[in-house]
Amino acid sequence: MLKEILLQAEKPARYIGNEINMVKKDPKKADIRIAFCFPDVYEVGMSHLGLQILYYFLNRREDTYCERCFAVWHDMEKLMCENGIPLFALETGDPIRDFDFVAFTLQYEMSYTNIINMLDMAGIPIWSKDRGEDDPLVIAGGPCAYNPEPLADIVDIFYIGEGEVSYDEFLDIYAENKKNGGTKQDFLEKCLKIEGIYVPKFYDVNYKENGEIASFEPNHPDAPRVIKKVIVKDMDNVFYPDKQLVPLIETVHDRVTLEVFRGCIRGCRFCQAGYVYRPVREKSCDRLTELADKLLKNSGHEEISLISLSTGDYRSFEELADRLIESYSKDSVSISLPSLRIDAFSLDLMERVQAVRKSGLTFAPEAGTQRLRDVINKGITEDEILSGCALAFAGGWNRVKLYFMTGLPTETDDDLMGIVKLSEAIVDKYFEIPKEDRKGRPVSVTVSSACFVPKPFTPFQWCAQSTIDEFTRKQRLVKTSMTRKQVKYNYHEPHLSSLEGVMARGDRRVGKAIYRAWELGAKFDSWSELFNYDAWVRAFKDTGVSPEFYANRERSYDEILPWDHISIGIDKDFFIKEAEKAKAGEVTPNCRKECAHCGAARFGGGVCFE
Amino acid sequence: MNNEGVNNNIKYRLEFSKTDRMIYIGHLDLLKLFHRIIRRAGIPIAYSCGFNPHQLTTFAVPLALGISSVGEVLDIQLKEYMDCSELTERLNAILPEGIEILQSIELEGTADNCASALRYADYCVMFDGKLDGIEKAVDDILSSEEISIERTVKKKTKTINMRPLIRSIICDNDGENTELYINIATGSMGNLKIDVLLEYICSRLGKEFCFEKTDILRGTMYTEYKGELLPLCLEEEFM
Repeated sequence: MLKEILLQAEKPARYIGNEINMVKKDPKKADIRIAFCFPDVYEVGMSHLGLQILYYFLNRREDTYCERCFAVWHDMEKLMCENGIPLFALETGDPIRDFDFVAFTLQYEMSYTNIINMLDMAGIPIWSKDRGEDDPLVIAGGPCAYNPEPLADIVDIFYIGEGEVSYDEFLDIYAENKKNGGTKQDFLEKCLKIEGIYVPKFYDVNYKENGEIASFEPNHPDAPRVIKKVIVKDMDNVFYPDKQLVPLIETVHDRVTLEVFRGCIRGCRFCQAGYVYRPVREKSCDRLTELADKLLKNSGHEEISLISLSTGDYRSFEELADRLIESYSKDSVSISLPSLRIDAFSLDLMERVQAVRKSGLTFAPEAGTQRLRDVINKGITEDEILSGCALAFAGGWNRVKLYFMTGLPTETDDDLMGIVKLSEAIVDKYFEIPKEDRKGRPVSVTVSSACFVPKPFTPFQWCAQSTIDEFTRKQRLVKTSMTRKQVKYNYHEPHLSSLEGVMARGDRRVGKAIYRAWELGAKFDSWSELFNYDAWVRAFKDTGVSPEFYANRERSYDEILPWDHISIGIDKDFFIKEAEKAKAGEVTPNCRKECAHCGAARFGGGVCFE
Repeated sequence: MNNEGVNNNIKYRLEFSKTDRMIYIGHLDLLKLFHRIIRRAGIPIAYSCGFNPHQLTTFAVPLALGISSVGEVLDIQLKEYMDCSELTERLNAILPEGIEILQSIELEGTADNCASALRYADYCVMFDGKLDGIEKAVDDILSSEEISIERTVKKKTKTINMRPLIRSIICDNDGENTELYINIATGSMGNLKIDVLLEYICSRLGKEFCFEKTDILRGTMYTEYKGELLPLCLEEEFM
C-alpha cells in the first residue's frame, strides 16, 4: 500500500528516511520515543543545524529513540488522507501519535499552521486540553518559542533556550515518572522545577477592556513567575555531533555545517537573534578543526560551511580559515563563508576558498541612509560599502546583492530614496574602473527589500509595524525611482510580513485565529504558491482577533507584553534605553568594543568575560 | 578527456542491488550517493582533470524510480590497486540499507565500460493479481515478426518495431499472481523500457497497466560475446 502511494508522490524520497548516518534502534527497547518535527518540507528541515545537533544529542541516550518527521507536501497529504495513513516518523515509519513526545522546532512564525496540520494528520487532538493520557506530549522550542503565547493553548511544554542544557534532566524525570506510573499531570508539575521549561496551562491571563493584558499570573504554587532561558556556557565541551545526516536527495544545503559560535556582538536593534542568543560564546579553533575533520570524513560531503550570525567576528577567524584551506583544498572540499562582512581581508579569503567561481557579493546595509542605519544600530557605513564594492570590482566580481528593509522605525521618504542613491553609487563605482580593466559581464546590482517586522526581545518590540498600504506605497516609491538599467529591484510580499507581525507579537488569543485560518485551508504560508491570504482575513473576522491591534499599534513601555514572563537574560530597562537611543539616532558600540550592560553577563560566560 | 597523472588501467566493476526503501531514489541522486559513499569509504578514486574535477565512475544504465534490482552495474577507476573483497566490504559497511555491493571484479584496462558493453537485461515481473489469457498474448508476441508501437520522445511521435528488442518472455500463471520472466534489449545499441512492454502486454488483454501496483525486479545485465549473452559482471577466466 505504501509503495503504491509513494510512487504517486512527487518526491517519494522525502518520506523514506534511510539516509547515511540515520540512527537505527529497536523501538521496543526505547523507553522514550520522540518525534522531532520540523513544520516544513524535508528539504528545508534537513538543512537545519539545530535538528542535526538535537537528533544525535537525544539519540546518544540509550533509553531514547528520537526520529524525524516533516510536513508532507500537499500531494502526499492527499494520498495519505485518501488511504487513511496517519503522519509517521521517517526512521521506523510508525505513527507519531504513538510516541511519548511530539517535539516541534519553531523557526519562523509562518510555519504555525503547518504545526496544526501535522497534529491533525497524526490524529492527535490539536488543543492541549483535548489530549488525554494516551496522546503524546507536545513540546516546542527554537527562536519563536521566546514568544510562546500564540501557541500556548496547543503546545503542552515550551523549552526556552538551548537544548543541550536541560533535555537530559527533563527526560530523566519523564522516564522516572513513567516507570512509577505517574500521570501526565504529575510529569507537567515536576517540569516546573526544571530551568527553561514553561508549561502554559499553569498560568492565567486576564485582559483589560482595551485589549491589553491586565495580568499574567501562575495558578500553581510551583510555577515560576519568570521562566529563564538556559544556555550553554562552555562551547568547547558541549556535545556536538561528529557526524551528520546525509540526505539521499538534494536539499537546500548539502554540506557539512560547522557552528563557529553562538550569539552576535553587533546589537542591530531589529534583530531578535542578536539578543536572544546573547552572550557570544565561541568554539576554539582546535575544537573546530577537530570537528571539521570528523564531519567531513563521516559524511562524504564536498563542502563545509562556517555557520554563525556573523562569521567575520570570530576572533580566530584568520587562523581557522588558513587551517581549513591548508587541510582540505587538495581534497577538492570547498569552504563556504556565509555572513561575512566585505573588506580587503575577506575578499582575499574568498578568492582563496572559491578558487575559480566568482559568485555575487552580498551586503546588508538594511537602511538607505546613515541616519537610519544609526537608528537601527547597523554599524556599516556608506564608505565601507562603496570601498568594499570597489575592491570587489577590481578583483573581478561584478554581481552585487544588497539587502534592505522598508518600514523601519522613524523611516522617511528620504531614507527610501537613500536605497536608490546607494544602489546607483555602487554602479558608478564600477564605471570608475578604466574600461580596459573591467572583466567579464557588465555589473549588475540586485536590490532586495524586506518588510520590517518588529520582534519581541528587541528595542523595537513596542513599535508599530507599517500597514500593508504603507509598505506598498514605499515599495512603489523605491521601484519608480530606480532608473539605472544595471539595478534590479525585488521586494517582499507585504501581506505575509504583516501576518508575521501579528504572530510574532501575538498573545494567547491569536491562537484561535491561527486555528481558524488552518480550518479554512491555510498551510505552508511561507510558500508563495500556497499562501492563502483570504483564509487569514476571514479567520481574523471569524474569531474577532484584530490584526492591527498586534501589528500596527505602538505600545507604551509600561504595558504588560505577552512575553514578559519569559526572560532571555537581557534587562527590559536596557531595551527601553536602546529604544530611546534609537529615536535619538545614537549608536551602541559592539560587545567587544564596549560593554553596553545589557544584563547577559549574568550567564557567567562568553564575550562578557573575554 | 585528458586525465593527466591518472593511471588509466586500474578499473573495477561493481554489481549492486537496489531494493526496499532505496527504490524511491532516482538515478541522479543515486549517482551522488555513490560519489559520497566512495569518498567516505576512503576508496582511492580517480578524478577527472579540469575545471570541475569529478569522480571517474560509469553506470551501465539508469534504473527507473520504483523498480528494484539485483543486477545494477557500475565501473569505477582508481588511483591504486585494491583487493576486490576489501572494496566490496568497505562500501557495504556504509551503504544505506537497500543498496548492497554483490560483487566487485577487476577489469582489464582495455575493457569496454559497462555502459557501452551492455546489451540485454533480465526482468522479473509480478502483477497485482492474475491476468487471464496472458499465456496466449505472450505466445502471440513471440511468434509475430513485427510489433509496431508508437513512442513519443521529445514531442516527436515515431513508430518503432518492438519485436527485435524482445529476446524472451516466460510466463508463470500458476500462482495467485501472474509472473513474467523477461529478457529485453537494454543499453545504447537498442533499448526497450520494461514499462512500455508491460503496457503493451496489458493492452493486448484489454487491461490498463498500473505501474504502482506491479513489482518489477531487474536481474542480471548482459553483454554479447560471439553471439552469446555473458553477464556484465563476470570474472575474466569465464570470458
